[in-house]
Amino acid sequence: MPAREPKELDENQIARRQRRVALLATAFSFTGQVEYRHAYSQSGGAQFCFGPAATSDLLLVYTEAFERDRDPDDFSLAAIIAHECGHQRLLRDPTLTVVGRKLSGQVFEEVLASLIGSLLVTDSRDAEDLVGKATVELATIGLSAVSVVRTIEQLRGILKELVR
Amino acid sequence: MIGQKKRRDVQRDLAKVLADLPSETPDAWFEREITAAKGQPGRDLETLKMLKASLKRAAKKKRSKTKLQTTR
Ligand SMILES: [Zn+2]
Repeated sequence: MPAREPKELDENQIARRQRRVALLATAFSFTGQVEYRHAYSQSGGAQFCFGPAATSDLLLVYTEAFERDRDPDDFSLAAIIAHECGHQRLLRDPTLTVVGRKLSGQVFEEVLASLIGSLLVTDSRDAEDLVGKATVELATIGLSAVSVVRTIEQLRGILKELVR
Repeated sequence: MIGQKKRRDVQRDLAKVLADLPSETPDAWFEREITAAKGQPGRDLETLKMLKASLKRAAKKKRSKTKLQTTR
């Protein structure tokens, strides 16, 4: 099957996307390089790449992030980028790396990235969506519904004190 | 990465997780929790309210979808 190609955009349209992505990343205090790639990925729309130093970290945003943003049933571009910025905070912010180390593992990393992202976004709906995503993710480890909600509530309460 | 699952599907999964809360309805459970958490240290009302709101939105969406299907 041939690889899916995004609809062609002119230089200005691509530059506009790059600017929009960069603005959001700056609003969420991302440190490093931010790049829009006019291509499809298997990432869900964006990817955080950990570099040798924070300044060389890379945030890649792909075409599907913009398609998802236009879909009312899907995550917004801001929510997608905030989640990736959550990953960076977790690995780069000294107070948050402590939390990340104590709660290590793939599931917790995703839960924490979404909860941190929910504290970075300005739109309350985006925040709700990211909290919902974290909750669903945490439930996959087999806790009871009450424990899942209590853990999400506690973690977000702690992160609120730490995310600046 | 945020993953491929759409927000709509995450909301549906959230409703499934919260359906197991020990109460007549998840909404009633959240009502009680929010009342109990008010003014309590270590509790985060905002997060509870967010989950309650997500649940409400998911239910609303489900209702409007059912309506569409039945009136066709
Ligand atoms: Zn992630």
